[in-house]
Amino acid sequence: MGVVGHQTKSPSMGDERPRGLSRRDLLQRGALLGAGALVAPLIAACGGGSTLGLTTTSESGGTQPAATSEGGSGSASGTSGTPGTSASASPSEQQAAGQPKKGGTLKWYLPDDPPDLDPHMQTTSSLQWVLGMCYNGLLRYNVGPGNGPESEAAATPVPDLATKYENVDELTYVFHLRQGVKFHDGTDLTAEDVAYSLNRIRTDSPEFQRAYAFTPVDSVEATTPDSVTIKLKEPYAALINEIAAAYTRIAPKHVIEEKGDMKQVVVGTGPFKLKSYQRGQQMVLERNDAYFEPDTPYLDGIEIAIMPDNSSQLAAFNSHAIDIYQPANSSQLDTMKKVNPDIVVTEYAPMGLNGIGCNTQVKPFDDVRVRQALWYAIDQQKIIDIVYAGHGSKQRAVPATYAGWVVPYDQLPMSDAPNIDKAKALLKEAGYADGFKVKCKSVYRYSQKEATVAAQLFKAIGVDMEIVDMEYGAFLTARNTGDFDLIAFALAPFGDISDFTAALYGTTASRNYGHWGDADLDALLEKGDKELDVDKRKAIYADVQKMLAERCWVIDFPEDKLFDAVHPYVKGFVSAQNPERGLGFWHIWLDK
Amino acid sequence: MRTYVLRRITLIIPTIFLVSIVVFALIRAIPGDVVTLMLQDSKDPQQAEQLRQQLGLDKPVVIQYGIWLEHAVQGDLGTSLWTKNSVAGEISRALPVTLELAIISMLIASLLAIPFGLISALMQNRFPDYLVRVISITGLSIPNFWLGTLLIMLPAIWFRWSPPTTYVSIFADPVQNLKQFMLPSLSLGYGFSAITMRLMRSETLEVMRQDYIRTAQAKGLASRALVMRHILRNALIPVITVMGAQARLFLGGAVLIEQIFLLPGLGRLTLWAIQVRDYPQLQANILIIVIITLLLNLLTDLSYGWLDPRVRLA
Repeated sequence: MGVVGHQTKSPSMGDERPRGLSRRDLLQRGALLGAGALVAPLIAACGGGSTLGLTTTSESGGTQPAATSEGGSGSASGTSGTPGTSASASPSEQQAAGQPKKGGTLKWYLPDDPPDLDPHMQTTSSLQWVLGMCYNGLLRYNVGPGNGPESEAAATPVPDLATKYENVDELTYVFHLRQGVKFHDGTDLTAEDVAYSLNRIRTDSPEFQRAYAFTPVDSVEATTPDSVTIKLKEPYAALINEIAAAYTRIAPKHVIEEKGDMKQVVVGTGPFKLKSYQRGQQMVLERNDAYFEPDTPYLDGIEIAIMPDNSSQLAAFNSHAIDIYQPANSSQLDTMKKVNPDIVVTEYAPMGLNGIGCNTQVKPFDDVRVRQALWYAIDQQKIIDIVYAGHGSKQRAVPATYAGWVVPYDQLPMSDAPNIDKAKALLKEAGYADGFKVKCKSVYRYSQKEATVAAQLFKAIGVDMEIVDMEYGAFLTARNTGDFDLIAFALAPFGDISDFTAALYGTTASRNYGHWGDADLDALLEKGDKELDVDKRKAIYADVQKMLAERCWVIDFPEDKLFDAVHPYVKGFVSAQNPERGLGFWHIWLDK
Repeated sequence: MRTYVLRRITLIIPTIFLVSIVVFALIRAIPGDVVTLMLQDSKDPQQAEQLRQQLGLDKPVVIQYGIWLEHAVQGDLGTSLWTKNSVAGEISRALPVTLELAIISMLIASLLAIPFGLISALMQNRFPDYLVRVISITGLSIPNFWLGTLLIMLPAIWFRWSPPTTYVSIFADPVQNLKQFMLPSLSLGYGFSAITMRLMRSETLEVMRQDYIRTAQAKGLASRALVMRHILRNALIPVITVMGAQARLFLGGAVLIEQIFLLPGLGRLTLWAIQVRDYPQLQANILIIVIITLLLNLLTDLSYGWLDPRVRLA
């Protein structure tokens, strides 16, 4: 895993991202974004015996019920319907883009090697990208042509290796498996493989980084040759999201038992097989002709070059040595367009939230008024204009990607920022009328540029903030041990909205770096975790967001925009910098 | 002579031993350890403790060093903490890439530096001299990674050409291989030639002022023989010292160039090992770099004898 965290700003070293946060970072947390938000209604709507809500999207991104190939109508409230095939592009869209052609090799790149190839351990994004093409889960998110990263459909779980699931009761879920699925080694997928994989992910060892997502699970068993039963210890609103998360992958039991782990081999059920891999150089994937979705994938294969350096990535894209570049900032785009005027660019919002975290165990940040004063001094529009070249929007509390669950900026407390008078008054009340000096630890890849603008803005209220530039590993240690007063960092979203809020702000949470949160918030989060009624749950999380906005544990930065660029012959590409959604590239085809 | 070489080689062993201790301690003293990097966002101390145990990092550093040393003397440099691959295997893949880069760069540097430096001196204060001096000053001033970035960006913008994205061994496909090594060797070699060019020039001027040159001229030696036999050979002695001393820079100094030009060499491997705190890999890489540096120093010293009979006699 090539962590580029060096302080050098040389063009060769800089992990040149449009914002401080690199794609890899965002991705590697297992960012599942708004997924949970959108699935929860499904679960909630179906007390007993539910089925998956099957939807496809129109181009506008709105959802509409889709006819399934097996004739079942995929209504979320159906009692035991039959979900059909996973939704793909609607016919009208495919016509617009031309009929997919088979064949060709896509040339693509990753900034670094995955640490190893085991599907159940790491959440590193480079690993997720590759394995997303080679494995399947029981469910997957409905990303595909027309369902871009910000669409609700893209955050909706659809069948993958499971054709349907039932919740027998609040604590019991039964998944029915697709028939006739084969692993890359030719063996059949069985319920045993599924149960074994899910249990392996739950292994209580730090190597298994996703184990925490299944803490409420009591047992996973293969109850019949083609069904798997999951029993919970307590109601768990986020279970389906975690199952649909791309890293909940199904691997063959016999291979793991034979080899001990899957660090060196890829044996999945996915659209592509690993043909060869030279570490640090390239990975070659080839089409899995036995893939269970008929007629896909379209590509013969994918050549993935390992390219750590940004300028060589850009050069390779400009010279057609690679077909996709992601993500680009606006100045890179200008150059790209000069060289290749016909590139196709998609703009989208990244999934994270950047901000300055306050250490509440350090004076003066134990005083909520001081934190509020800092918030009032932040002019998000200025950050958008200066750092994001105008491409961005205001946001607070949770990333905008939890579509449907996010309280609009204007409706949150203290949305009248910037307000220097109020900020000064708050500081005076707290006893810091003359301001104070403080250091803000930062690292190049996480919102350092935003923090630099913030430091200028804080001067207006007499706060003298010095930005301390750190090496990545040292930064992580400082952040994880709470060795900071202020810290400029990035918050990556996790599957469910509860996952994001609880992981960062729960008083005992593993990602609560600055002693954030309090008993009030804990009580709310606990309620949200157990509440299966979607409207009530939304109301709870609205309160959570208001509390976050008001107590200012983290001073939020605005949301920026990123751009993905592809050459015009690449069709069916979907912008998504979160491979955790399992973007398998099965839908990409080449028109040349 | 033989005893001298043997003595030098024997001296390498304690040096390596000392370096291994220093490196072992230093890489563990950098803030931010491997466990933090592996766990990334989780600050759970229990998980960290468990992982530290799994990796064998919970033992006292002295014990860890002892274990490492015990394996190292048996030729086992350990496995990478991240990839679990053999550390020696990773090096055996990376080293040839760096060596090839170093050799081609040295070649480019020598081909540029020696003739141009010589011409510059022979035609002192005339146009070719000025030109060579401008070229060498430019080479000295431009950082090689910046030159590398330009060399990769500009052809892509102007001609939509970029070097191959995947490394191919010179034995598998020499053309593809040279296509990939051309630009990085040029960016490294140019900067390197600049120093050597200037040195070559000043040394030649120095030699030309010597009495024996005047004597040689006086006895009517042809200018070609004068230059080749008397001037060049004597001027080269310090130049070779400097080149030898600088050759080791290719091992560490190629880090950025390998990164930019996607060469899976030792520099890139070392940078990665530092960034993710892969202690066994880093330890082994530095040891290899130290060994090569010591051998290079030895070779440089030996080459004096060959070039300069005065040293040979002493």
